[in-house]
Amino acid sequence: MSLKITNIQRFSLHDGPGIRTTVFLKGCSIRCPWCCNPENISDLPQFYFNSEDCIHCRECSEVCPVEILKEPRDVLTLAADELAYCFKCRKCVEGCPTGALGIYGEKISEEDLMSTLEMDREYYIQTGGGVTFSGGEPLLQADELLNIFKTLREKDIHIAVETSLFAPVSCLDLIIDSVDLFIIDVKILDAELADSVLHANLEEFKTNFQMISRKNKDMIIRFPMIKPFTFNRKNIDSLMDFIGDYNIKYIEIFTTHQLAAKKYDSLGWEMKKQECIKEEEIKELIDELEDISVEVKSLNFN
Amino acid sequence: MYSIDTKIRTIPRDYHYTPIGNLTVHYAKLLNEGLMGIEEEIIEKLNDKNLDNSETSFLNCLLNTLESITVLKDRQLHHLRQLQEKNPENKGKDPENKNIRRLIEIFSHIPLHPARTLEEALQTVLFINSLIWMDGHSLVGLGRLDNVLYPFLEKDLSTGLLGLDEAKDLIIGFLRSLNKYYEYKSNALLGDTGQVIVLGGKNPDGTDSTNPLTLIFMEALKDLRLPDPKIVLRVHDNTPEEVWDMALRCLEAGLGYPLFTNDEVIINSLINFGYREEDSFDYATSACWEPFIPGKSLDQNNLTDINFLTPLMRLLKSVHEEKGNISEFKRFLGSYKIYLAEYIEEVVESVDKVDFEPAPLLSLLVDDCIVECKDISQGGARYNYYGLLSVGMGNTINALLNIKRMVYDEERIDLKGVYKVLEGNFESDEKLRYELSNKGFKYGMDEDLVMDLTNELINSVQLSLDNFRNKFGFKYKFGLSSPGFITNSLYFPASFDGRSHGEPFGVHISPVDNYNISYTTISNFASALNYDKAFNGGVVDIIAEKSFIKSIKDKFIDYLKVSFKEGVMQLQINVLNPEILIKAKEDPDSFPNLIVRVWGFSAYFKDLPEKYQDLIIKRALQYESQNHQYTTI
Ligand code: SF4
Ligand code: SF4
Repeated sequence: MSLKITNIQRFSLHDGPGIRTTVFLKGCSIRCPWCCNPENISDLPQFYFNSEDCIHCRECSEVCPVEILKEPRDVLTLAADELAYCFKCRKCVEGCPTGALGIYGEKISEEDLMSTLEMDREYYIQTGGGVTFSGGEPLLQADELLNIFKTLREKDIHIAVETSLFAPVSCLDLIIDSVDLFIIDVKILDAELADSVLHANLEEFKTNFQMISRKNKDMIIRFPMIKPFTFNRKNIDSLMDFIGDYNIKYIEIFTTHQLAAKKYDSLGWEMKKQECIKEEEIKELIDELEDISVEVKSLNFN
Repeated sequence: MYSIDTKIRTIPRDYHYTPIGNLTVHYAKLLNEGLMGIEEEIIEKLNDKNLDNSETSFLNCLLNTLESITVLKDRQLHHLRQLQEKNPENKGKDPENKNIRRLIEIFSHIPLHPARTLEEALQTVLFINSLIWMDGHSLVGLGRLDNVLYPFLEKDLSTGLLGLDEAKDLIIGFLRSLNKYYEYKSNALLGDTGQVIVLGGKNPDGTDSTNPLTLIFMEALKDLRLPDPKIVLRVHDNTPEEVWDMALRCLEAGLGYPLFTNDEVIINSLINFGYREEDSFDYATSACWEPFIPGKSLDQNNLTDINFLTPLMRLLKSVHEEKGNISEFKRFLGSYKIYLAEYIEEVVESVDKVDFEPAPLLSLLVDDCIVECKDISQGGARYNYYGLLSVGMGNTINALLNIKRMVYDEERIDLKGVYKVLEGNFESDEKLRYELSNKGFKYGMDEDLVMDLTNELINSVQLSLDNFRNKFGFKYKFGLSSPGFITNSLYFPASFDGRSHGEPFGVHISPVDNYNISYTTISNFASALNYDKAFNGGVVDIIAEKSFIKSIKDKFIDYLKVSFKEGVMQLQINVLNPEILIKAKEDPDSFPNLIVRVWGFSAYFKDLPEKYQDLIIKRALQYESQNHQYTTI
């Protein structure tokens, strides 16, 4: 069995306790307008083009057997267009000397993935770290993950899953017992808005959340502060109500960063500008959360 | 009090000789016995009936040297008394005069007698240190000062003479003194003074040797924000939390030090190489990072560089000229190793020609010159090993990996083609250059192929070196880092790792270029290297942003601890912000105090030659993009 991934990030420090390796799985069930990992939304392989790395050598155009690349950037439009002649031979990617042209989303076999994950085992064990599966939505590949989790557990490696829980409960059910920690993204807690903004079914989220809570799994909540979608009075009130009912380790709040702009560009997309959130507003939220005795960590990526 | 007559070094000397540098004398012995104790030892030795003429004259020369030191000390005292008399009516009242009175007291006692207090000890070190500089030695190290000085502080604390705060003030004054004459002391670049203070470390019984001075030294330098002197911190399994914490605070302050050096690896390597066990536990470093036994070694650890690319170029050239070919990669590697061995023989021959200048001052203060009745330049010290450093190892590994892939696995180019491309400096094939530097496994990755190849070269060098003894009959050792990654590269032709003519070589044990190699990857790689055969310095050099280190301080300390446990030998961290570096390059006046780590030293960014500035900026940008590339949110 193999997994669809876009990246394996070693020495990952923000995705759970200790020193970790984070695996980014490709394919997501919802569509957040502020997404910072756009390459993980579609579950299909996607061409990318990083113009900064291009040395204009024209190798890609020259090796293309069907001669459709006038410019390297053409790969972004052509590959998405099923009518075009591109037959995904990858010659352009292989020929690119700088890596400017590439593909997001390679399949990786269990063995290859395990051998990478094991490289930092000593760091996991000695720092209370482990492996985090993120994405995309990891639950969508629950079937494929099951075996990996089993192997990781045999090797005493801590497993965290970062999820927005918008997935069929059967997916969660499959892996829940193998997971040590759930890092749960809480975004919009109004059913209608969840549907219209995220294209998500809030019921799924709630059912899954209850299941994790019932099983007494460790939970960390992540709350992205995005105006107007998540960072508004009504949604924050719902958040308070919601997490008040559960036993969570702590909540991480964060504003999104512009670091993803380059990735959007590499896909030929544009990143939507986010409204800025002021320090005082963040401070207020922290105070409110602390008032209901939740531990808060504020992450700042700027 | 600390003064150096900076003109003295310009007095013409005999150019046949090389002055001894890169060395630390036996401060502990000096402080505990005083020069008079050493004099007694010499006189006793002179009574030995079996001495030959040269031995007697050597010992007499040492006595003359002692007398000269005494004359100088007396002159200093005389000068102090004159100063005091200028202001007789103020005697003792104004602080200036009080200081002078104190100095007169101190110099009436030291350096002839053993030091009695921390202040006397510090003053003794400063006095002798200034003499060593004026005697024409460069890169004068300071050794394990926390350990050497602590007995004096302990006594002062118990007699109530000093509190810890006052001790810190004394240390601050001491460090400020050493920082004087910054330019005069600098060797290859401004800041390259070799003034290394080694702190911490493991005792032979496995316990930790840290004491309050360990923290005081670090804290004082952090507060002073001086690039020089600098710290090497010896770490091991039992290094206390507060020492790690203070070390990180120094790094956060942007000082570029401490450099961490791993006792668990180095002590074993030293013992295996032939150093006595008790001496191995007492190791410090010569100027940058090369392990060294203070007060007992002549060890010249930085005689010259092995450039791993030189034999590779020679091999490619000969294949090209002889129109021969080599059919398999294994055989190619075998040929490379033969060329490497021949090249090493040349290097060794060239360094063994060096004659050191006689140095009676050092001979007084380094074991076992008196016992052996032999000047340090003649091999009187207990250890007289020679050390070589190396450059271009990462470039060579990458070039070999590229040759394996492109010439042998993919058969896309032949060896003659490789030589031609390099000769033409990739001018007709820029595309190839990019591919070479971007594709495939690279030096610094924890892939077996890469680690095995690197160890194969390491073993091969040490095997060649084992065939030689220097003129004192001592072995050669070598290490994996060197200050010479730019100087050696300036006129060096293009190499098949994708490096153009004149571009800098890789820096120490760090990825040659940015291949998205994580901190744990490079640590795993470095831990897998065979330091028993290459312990003359082996530094992983990484760059991190201040905000990054700050936000994950505890995890970063954990990272360091695990890395050393796994077997990384040495590690240094430049805490930098690339945007600030770029601004500072354009507008140096606005950033006069910006400090960066260069090789084994820290320096003001504004003082660096452009090539060094550019390389640091380039590496900082690479690390920045790496740290930011992926987050889950
Ligand atoms: S994948 Fe093949 S066919 Fe498609 S653009 Fe690239 S080279 Fe051309
Ligand atoms: S092959 Fe790569 S570097 Fe060359 S033009 Fe195409 S995208 Fe640019």
